[in-house]
Amino acid sequence: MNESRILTVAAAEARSALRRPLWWLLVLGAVVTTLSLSSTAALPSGDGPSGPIEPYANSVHALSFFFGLSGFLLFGFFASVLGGMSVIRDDEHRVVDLIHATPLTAEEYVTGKLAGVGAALGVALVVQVCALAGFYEVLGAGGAVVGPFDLVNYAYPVVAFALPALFGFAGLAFAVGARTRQPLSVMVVPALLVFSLPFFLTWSPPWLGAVGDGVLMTLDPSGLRWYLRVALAPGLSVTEVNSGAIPYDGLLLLNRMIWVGATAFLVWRARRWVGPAGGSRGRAAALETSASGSERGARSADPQFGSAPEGVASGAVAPGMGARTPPLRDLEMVSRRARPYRTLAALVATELRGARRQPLLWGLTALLVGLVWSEGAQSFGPFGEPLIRTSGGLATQLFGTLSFAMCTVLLFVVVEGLHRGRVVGVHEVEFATPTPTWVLLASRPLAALGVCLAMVGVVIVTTIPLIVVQPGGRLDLLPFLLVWGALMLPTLALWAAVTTLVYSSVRSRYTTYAIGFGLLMLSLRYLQHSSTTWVTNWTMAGTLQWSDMGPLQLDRIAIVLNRAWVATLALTTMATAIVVFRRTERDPATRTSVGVRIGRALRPVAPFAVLSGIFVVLLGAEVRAGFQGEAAREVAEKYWRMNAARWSDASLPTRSHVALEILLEPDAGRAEVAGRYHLINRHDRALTRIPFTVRPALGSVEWSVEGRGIPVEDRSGLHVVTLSPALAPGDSVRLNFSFTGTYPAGVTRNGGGTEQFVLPSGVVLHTLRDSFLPQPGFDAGIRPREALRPVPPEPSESEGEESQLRPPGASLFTTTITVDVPAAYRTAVVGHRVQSDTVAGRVLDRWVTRKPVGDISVLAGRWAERREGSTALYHLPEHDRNVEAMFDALLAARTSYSRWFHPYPWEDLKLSEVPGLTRNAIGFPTNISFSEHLGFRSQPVNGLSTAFVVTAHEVAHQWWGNLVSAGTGPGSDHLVEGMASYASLLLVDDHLGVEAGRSYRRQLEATYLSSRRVDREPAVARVLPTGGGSRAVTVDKGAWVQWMLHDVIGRERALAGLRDFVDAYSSGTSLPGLPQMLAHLRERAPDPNAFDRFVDQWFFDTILPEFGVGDLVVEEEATGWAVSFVLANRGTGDVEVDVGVRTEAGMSSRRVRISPTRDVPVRIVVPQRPSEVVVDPDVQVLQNHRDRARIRLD
Amino acid sequence: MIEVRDLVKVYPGPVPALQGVSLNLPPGMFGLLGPNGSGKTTFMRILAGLLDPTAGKVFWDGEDVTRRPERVWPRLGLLPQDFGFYPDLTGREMLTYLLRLKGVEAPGGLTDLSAELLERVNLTDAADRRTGAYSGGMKRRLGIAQAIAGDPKLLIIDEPTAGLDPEERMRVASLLSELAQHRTVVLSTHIVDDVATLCPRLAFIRSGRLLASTSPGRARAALRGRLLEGSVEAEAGQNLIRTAEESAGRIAVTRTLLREGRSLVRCFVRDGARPDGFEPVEPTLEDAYVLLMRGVVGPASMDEAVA
Repeated sequence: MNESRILTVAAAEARSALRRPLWWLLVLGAVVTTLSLSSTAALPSGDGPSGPIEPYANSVHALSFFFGLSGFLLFGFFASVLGGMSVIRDDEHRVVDLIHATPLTAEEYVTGKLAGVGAALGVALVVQVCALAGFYEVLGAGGAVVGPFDLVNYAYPVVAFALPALFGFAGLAFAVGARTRQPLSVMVVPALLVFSLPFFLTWSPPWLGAVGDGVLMTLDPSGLRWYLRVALAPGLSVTEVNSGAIPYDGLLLLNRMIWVGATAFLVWRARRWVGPAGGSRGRAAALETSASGSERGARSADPQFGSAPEGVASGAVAPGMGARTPPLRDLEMVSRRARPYRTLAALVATELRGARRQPLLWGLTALLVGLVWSEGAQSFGPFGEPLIRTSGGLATQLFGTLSFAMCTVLLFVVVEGLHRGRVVGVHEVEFATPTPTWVLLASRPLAALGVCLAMVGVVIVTTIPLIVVQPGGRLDLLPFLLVWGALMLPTLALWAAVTTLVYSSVRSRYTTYAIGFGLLMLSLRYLQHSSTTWVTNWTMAGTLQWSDMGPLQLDRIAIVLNRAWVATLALTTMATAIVVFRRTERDPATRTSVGVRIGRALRPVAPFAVLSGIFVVLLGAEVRAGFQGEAAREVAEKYWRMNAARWSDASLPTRSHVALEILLEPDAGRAEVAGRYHLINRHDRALTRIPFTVRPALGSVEWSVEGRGIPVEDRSGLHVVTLSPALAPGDSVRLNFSFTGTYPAGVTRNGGGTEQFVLPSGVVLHTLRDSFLPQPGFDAGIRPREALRPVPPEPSESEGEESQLRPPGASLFTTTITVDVPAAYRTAVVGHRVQSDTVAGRVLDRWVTRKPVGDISVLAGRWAERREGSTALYHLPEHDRNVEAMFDALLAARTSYSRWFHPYPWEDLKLSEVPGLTRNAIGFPTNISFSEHLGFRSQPVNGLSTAFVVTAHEVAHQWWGNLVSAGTGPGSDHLVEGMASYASLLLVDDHLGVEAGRSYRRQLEATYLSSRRVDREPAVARVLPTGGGSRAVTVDKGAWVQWMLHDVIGRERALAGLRDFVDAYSSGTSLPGLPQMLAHLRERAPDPNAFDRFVDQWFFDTILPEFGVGDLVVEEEATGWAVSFVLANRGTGDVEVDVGVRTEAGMSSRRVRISPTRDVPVRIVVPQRPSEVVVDPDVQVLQNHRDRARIRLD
Repeated sequence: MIEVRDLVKVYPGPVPALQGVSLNLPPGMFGLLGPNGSGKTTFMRILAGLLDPTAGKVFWDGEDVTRRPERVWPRLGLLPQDFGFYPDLTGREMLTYLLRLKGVEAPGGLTDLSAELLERVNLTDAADRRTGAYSGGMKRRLGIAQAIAGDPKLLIIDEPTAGLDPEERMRVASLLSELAQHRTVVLSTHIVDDVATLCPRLAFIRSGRLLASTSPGRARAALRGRLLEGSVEAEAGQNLIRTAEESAGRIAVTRTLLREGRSLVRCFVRDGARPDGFEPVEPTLEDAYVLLMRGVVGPASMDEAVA
């Protein structure tokens, strides 16, 4: 190869690249990402001896993540365009024949081209590295923590992640462009790689296994899957992240070699596809046939026309032509004024016909199908359990992803459609026709929309198997048509219009790509910000919640206004594009004034802009007035400012009884409530003024005593009623109230769900949070903006050592609740139903509680009922798949928990399915509400019924949370969530079998290990109730720790201790903490010292053993086989654990005690040949890397 | 009648492409002759409403259409010099597509009309082949088909016969001639004989200026008697060329062909002696073009020179 020629080609290519706006936009993007992309997002933080430890933003770990993501997403796109269009551009400029009619070889051409592109990209990368180094090392990283400078920290990530991405994208796109010579095919490359990124990063179904995971790590072009799973393995401390190097790993090397090698191979092949012969597709000279049989006519060098006289007579026959040709006027052609809509339809049809012949659009469709499949196949519930896929669930789950994917596709298809005329050279002919500009311009984006809708149609059809392959899977096309069709269309229309406007303004295909890509990335970033609302969320991503019990009933007005706004904005944008677009090249010297141009532009644009503005204003008003809007925030701030100082410590009477009459109108979203509180003054002084917190949803509340209105001061949501006469100590009064509430009160801020609602799909009202009733006292949970709110003090370690008295405002009370609903509904209310009448199409149910409760819940729905005695399960008739498992759990839990903890104190136990606008379950006394996404959609994991498990967990809250209410000290969460999880462990073990129990414990262990923060894990007894703790510690580890207590004090003694504890606190007058429970358990312990050791390690410390087997020797002896090994604890903790040897006859095990400082030699003799050595075969000890403590011997 | 008045176009640079061109374009065929870069294409694009002039006006039947190209397009048929078609559409589909854009209608519908037009340009057998597979000549013929479709009152054809074989060129000539009976056809080309054969009127343009507006006959008549042709030894031919260059325009060689060791020389003598072995020949329009472009003969020597 001739180096000089290579350099010439490279220099020309680099020069061309560096002059293009596309490159400058890349540099701009590179600098912007430096400032906005956090390098520490994936890194752990922790606690050190002198305070929190944050990850260094300039560590090799942080920068690897940064360059991995930036290289793939940002540089990948631009590298694809620069590399892929390199050869195509030479075709379009028609220089191919010229440059290849020289000694330049194909190898030199390819090498030079790629070198030039690489140089341009390299310069941009250098700019980014310098900007990053300047930002971190010089400017201090804007508040992020920065460690010592080390050049290797920058060099390694650039070499390992950024450069392979640049080469890969540029090379791959170059090869694709050289082969196909079609710009759309080039755009498939970044689309393919970006769409695949979520798949490679997150796809980990339970069945994948280590081998499958390894394969994916090897194939992932970004290398980030390896990084997140190996380099940044769970368990890595922040100190190790900050100071350690990334391990040199053969898997990463293999990954890089595959990616780079495959690209290099394709680039090497590309040399066959470049040059005049390589571009023959579409440029080959066709054989001509004619009626005269004349073919391949030699083009005469003689320009003479022959001897025809000046001017040729009309109708004259050219010499030698044979039969006379009829005159043109016989065709009777006329040109009329073009019919714009008909012409538009014809143009769109032509474009669609052309699109149908683009095989790469089908390739893009296949990509979309792959994206939908990979993301749609992963659907998990709040407990991490896999969920049955439903049409509505899939449609809303993938709505945001599919919208952005379609916008990416639209960017390419619209730009290529608009630019194609210019490329092929037909644009001047098109412009010089009477067809209006708006028809010429709008036909392309309209056709592109048609292409996109066709793609979505294909995606819908190919998504069907995701649902029907599931046993009992029910297909419903309506959600797809509604969500992916009608609701997505305005988003796509707006994006098509924006792309058209950008192209009309800049008239450059590459600049349009760059701007469009940048806008999409910015949108994606912004939409994750908390300031996004319905008004700014033009894609509606993340807003939709589907419920099979009634689709899209929440926020309907917001959805309609948002779509209307976006659709009219699309029209406004398109109208602007038409105004901006020029068919005639303007002369700079004759340009009209800005005012005239604006005036001319306003006329066609104004109507759409006005309409769009109206919708925006209406939508903004709805958001502001909604229960999450500015108006509510202002009320909350005023509530806090006016009342916190004066009323937060107010003395409150005790509620002994609550009587309610509730008229529910689900269709209107309304609940008319008339209620009565029986209040008793248990203080030693009279109470005159009593505050009640009234949420905005309640509207206007009328108060009275014995039928007389009473003075009430409304202090921005704190109603202070004045009793006259005052309520003397020991006296009681019946305070009446009535109101008509709307639930929810207005729209959400940006979609998502809500916990309480009155909707046609169902009713959920309760008093736990944002109470639907007036609540006694000041509610410290109503939070103003942080600046106004003082930081609450951390609870001291000694807090919780004594139980707390239940505050009067949170007293237990009996209830009498009457609910009036349309006859199509059933109700489920706290208490026991004593009466049910149906009158005039409405049902009147009366519910009472005899044992006091702390909270009220009212549920209603169009349910089917599964009942046995006083235990009932209400569900949507179609959601019957897991009903039997859940009902089984309901019955078993009621029976077993009554035996283990305390007899169930109430009559009814009900579990009711509610619309998935809330994603959790709440266990009120006698009345459990279950989101339709929980339990009803759960799928088994490793043969274990997760529906059974989650039901068992939630039923346990009847005891742990309701019967015994925990205090607020550290560790008190364990009494609620930890104990509920422990109860479900017991029930699974007892009811589903020993093997199911082991499987469940393994799942809890895996969940705990994958989500624990190594450097910041609080001990179980130190988890704060204010959310400063960790769910993994409370739910997963807490259950395990409670289970392991069985080994220390015995299962029956442990349960007896728990019964003692529940008996002591079931009256509800005092709120215990963890120390109280441990005290009761200790009383049952046969060896208190062993109990104390266990509690100190597992409750008050954060030990985690990790076992290893070494020096393994297997010898056949006269009496059998002797298996000898050394057991080590590479983790922490002084623990006892079983070690076993498995043979065909079974498991032979013995117990050993082991600590990190003392390895234990073990010898076990078995009668038959051993097949396996297993530490903790019965899954009784929480440990790390359980799989490594298992050795196969065959 | 299309009247062009003082048309000026200056591109950024500045690059003056047209420097005050005034012209009348009556119905019939009108040729525009000039070398590459003379401003022909700029002139045609302004006429077609695709480019705004820097100054000057274009009147069509008395109406100023300079900055109202939408008034021109319904009556226009355009075939640019450099153009193409969507490669994934067949010839038939592409033609139908353009007919729709032009608002063309016919009693038999567009499908029949497309077939007829394709027959006229000898593309019937390739009608269902994708245009991406067309040769240059086939594309030009398809371009002609779309240009002549409808009832355009103004046809602007840039290089109509580029890439066509003689039979095709004759066919195209026939079509254009037929069309020119009832409308204005502006032919821009640097192939002189196309203009000579087809155009009763023509204009010579150079460096953005109009040199002459005349007819082929008058242009030739201006040279009659002074155009000589002779066959000489090659070296003698070279000497004659040197002499012509030093003669300050008294002698101008318009063509030299080397044939079997002898030079066939054609030259113009303003007055004075006839070179030995040279006889008068009938001037061609090409002679007039060459001599006018070189400035050997002035516009005034041709009737109807530019005012």
